[in-house]
Amino acid sequence: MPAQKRNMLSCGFAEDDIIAEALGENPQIIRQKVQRHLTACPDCTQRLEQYKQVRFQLRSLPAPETGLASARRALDRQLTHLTADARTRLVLSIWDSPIGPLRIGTTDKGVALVEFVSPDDPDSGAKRLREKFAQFSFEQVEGHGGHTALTRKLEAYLNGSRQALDWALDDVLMRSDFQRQVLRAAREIPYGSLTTYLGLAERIDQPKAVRAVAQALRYNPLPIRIPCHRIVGSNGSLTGYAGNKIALKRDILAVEGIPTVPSRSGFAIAQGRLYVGRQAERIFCRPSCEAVQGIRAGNRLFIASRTRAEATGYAPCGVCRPDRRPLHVETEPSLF
Amino acid sequence: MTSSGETADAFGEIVDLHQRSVYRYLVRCTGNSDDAQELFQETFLRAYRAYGDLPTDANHRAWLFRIATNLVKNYIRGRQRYRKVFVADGPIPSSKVHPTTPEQTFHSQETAQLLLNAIGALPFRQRTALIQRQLEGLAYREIAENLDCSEDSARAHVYQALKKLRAYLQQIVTGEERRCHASPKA
Repeated sequence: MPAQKRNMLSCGFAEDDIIAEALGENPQIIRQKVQRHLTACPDCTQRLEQYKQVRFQLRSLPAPETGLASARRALDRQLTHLTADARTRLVLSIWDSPIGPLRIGTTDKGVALVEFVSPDDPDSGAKRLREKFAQFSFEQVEGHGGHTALTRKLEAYLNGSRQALDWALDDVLMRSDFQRQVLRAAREIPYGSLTTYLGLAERIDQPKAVRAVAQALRYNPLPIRIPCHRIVGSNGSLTGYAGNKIALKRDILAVEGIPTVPSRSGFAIAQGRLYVGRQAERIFCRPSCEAVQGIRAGNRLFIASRTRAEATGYAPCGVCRPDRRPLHVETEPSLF
Repeated sequence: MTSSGETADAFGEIVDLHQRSVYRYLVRCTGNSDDAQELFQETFLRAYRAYGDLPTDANHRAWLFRIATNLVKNYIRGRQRYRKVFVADGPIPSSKVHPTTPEQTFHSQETAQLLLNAIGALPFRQRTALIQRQLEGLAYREIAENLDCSEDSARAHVYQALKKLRAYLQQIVTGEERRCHASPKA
């Protein structure tokens, strides 16, 4: 290393050469130069000793090992998770359903994904998925080969002949434990019934988390199967669905016999034509019944019909007698 | 492409082989084992994610030190505002220090702690270069790669750090001799 001016000692010798000498890094020719200088310069001789001491002290520092074992255990735990993720394989297919193309994704545990495919950019969803879950492996299958049993049930649901989609689920694509909690609560809302975002927030004992609940539902990886369509705004409006697919939400609600009407902000459920269930008491009322005025959103369920209410295990209210004075003549609804 | 199981096994071997030196390095860079444990996990998790793209003939040790060094850089940046530079006001060792001959200029027991403190006060590049070279024996070429600098700069960082350590320890010894009178600039 060339001796620079700032490295010069008062005796005119380069300090870096002394350091290199202490570290044993000098080539032969510099070593000789240093040795010659040292015989004449006691300052540099002492300095060299001090550098040797610093080096010696550095090398005799105790090797810190405390904490290594527990750090290794924690690492192994995380690596186990990661390798488990790496083994997760998603098989994707697209099914041309009555409500538009749907992407279906399954793992060996069950269905992990139902996604409305954007007609403008059919590959965007799959691309996003691969980026966001880069640790998984993906396989795209033509048609809906392995998924026929699923799509047959879904088709029956969409034409109103089937109410429960009993596919096994895999929650790997859910984003957080909070989202899992919200979606678990959403699954408790029965077919042909509705609650509000506030109602769902109250059901998970987080009445102030209404917006967070709405976000969790917005990113539901399993729409239809996990019925986020059964959650509406507090004023009954059909707020967002899978982004802004309000018409889709309306269609799916129609399948379940929930009437909707045009409203200022698009569409709203027709509250006057829905029974109100009191979940805690398992009783259903006409919407005008005194007994349901002012009850908590978390205890309220809007129910499409007497048939649905009774199928869910609700008894008619003894005051407003929805059994004697039904809201409407009931027919089994069908979209198609 | 290898299966994830094989990858995990091969990676486990790398961890076994290098965990000690990586952990030592992180403790010495951070000065405490709690932070070192956290950075240790992060180092190997990052390494695991990048492992598939690593050339088969890669130098694993240098590669792990590079990842660890980047984490140390962020760590030091995050901590800078809380860190007290204590070189000037560091605790003067007790009067047990009786330097007699040049070989005993620095008394080893207290010096170990003083030395660690002084290392902790070095700026990031000098600190990591010094530890990599003097304590972990990496080549200047490897250090240069880790710090994104030339080999000459890597060497200069190490030398600069040694100058500070020598001056610091010398100052303490001199201070002892003069019973804490103002010490001359080393």
